[in-house]
Amino acid sequence: MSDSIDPQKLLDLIALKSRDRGVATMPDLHEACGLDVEAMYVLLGALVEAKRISIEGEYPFEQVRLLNL
Amino acid sequence: MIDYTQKIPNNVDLSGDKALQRALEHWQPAFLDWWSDTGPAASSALEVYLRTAVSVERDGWANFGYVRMPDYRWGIFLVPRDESRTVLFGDHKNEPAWQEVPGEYRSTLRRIIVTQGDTEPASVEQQRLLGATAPSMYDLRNIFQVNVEEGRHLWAMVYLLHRYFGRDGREEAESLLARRSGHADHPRILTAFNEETRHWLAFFMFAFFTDRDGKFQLASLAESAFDPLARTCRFMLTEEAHHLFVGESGIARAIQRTCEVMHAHNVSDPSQVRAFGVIDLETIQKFVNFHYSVTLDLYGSEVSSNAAMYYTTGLKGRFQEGKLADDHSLTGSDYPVQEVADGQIVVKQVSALTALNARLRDDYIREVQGGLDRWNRVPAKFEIPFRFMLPSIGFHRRIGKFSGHHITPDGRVVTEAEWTGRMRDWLPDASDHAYIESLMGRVVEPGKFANWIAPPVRGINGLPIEFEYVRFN
Repeated sequence: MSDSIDPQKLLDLIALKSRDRGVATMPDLHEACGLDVEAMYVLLGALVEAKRISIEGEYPFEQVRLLNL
Repeated sequence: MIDYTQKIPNNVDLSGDKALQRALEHWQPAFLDWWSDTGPAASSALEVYLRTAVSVERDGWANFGYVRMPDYRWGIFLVPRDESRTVLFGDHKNEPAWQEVPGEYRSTLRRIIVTQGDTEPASVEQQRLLGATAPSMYDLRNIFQVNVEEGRHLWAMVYLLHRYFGRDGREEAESLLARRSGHADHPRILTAFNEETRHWLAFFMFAFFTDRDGKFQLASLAESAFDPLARTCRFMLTEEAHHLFVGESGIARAIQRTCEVMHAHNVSDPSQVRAFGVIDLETIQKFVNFHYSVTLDLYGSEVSSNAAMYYTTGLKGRFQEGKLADDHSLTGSDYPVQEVADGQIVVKQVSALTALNARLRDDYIREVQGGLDRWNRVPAKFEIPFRFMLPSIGFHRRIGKFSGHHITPDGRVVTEAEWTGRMRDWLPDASDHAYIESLMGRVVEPGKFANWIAPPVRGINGLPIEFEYVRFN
């Protein structure tokens, strides 16, 4: 479904998409996983809470950085 | 994995059913003729940096590369079968999901699939001319990505028609290529898919509002007892999710640019804002009002015996049926539905079974509101007091309980005279469209963007904004 994804898979995608520049963009992530916009924000919020990622920049130009690499 | 060595890429072992394979290979050139006739105009020679599905698994489904769109590998992709899947709802609850169509539901199910399938080519036809006014190469690539995937969604429905509905299904598949959006004699089935998409603001609105209706319909069908339909829709949803992102981010970038101009020049009056060649927020609100209200009509009548029948027979579930904690039969349950009584909008409890259209529409509204809340962060960060709002559920409705009533965006039932006098304050008129169209000059130099829309922070697949996403050769 487009409303859920294993958080680890999203973290793997963020790692893959941020490999060159250190950050992944929302378009990168959406094209790579087919997750709904709403579900993406919910999951990213949970990963921020868990201190696994940080979000830089403001909507609609957020960029996602992995933490504790 | 998807077999790309076949003439029609698929993961349904098409080569194991020669009659079906021949039938679909017979339909394939007709599809390509349709794409040539009604797909993106003047695009056949372009090389477009597109994403192609290589797997139905989410962790590895996308592959990027240049493709001439007529060479795009449209195929048939279903998520893998779960042998233990059972029906979640209705009279067949807990029975094994159906792998074939029960005879008693054959015509109803075919109609559902045809109606869904008809929307897929329709949107491609509606957007046919937009390449000529693309605000950037990035956006041009995005609309082409959306278009080829809507074409693939047509393939998804046509596969079901050919595979499970025999001669009737084959004839319906032919008809899907014969109807045309907006055609006087052979229109598409649903009204919203016969409206013209005149410019990119309308495209982004369509992708945000109307494609989202598609998502909710697909999500309901993804719960179907008819397992091949459910599995087809589940994969379609992953592609649809990106279309919604294209819509939301496109509008957000337009709002961003407008707010940048308003902030930099300290202007707020729409005419002053327009003088800088951007779309004033009031006009964007009018387009929100239009596209939202037209899309609400796609859910059909709030109270519907057909919707109840689809549910009890297991053909179509509720949004995220598996996450809902109730008896999944809905007998004896009520649901609140709004209607007009004594000159105002009131709430009435009706049978939850007959209110399934209203319920799905309410799920949709909650999600749309989330999108507006995100858009509203943009003027907020510029300290601009404007906020986008969804109009009343009864505003500008042609179908259902509000049809025939005149209801303002704030939910007041008014006379026809007041409605007519104020309509241009609430809905885009010819002058608004003309203004938007005046902004729509084509910008296709790599890295350049039209003045009315902000560029994204980075390009596609980690590439720079300046990347040549479309090669014109």
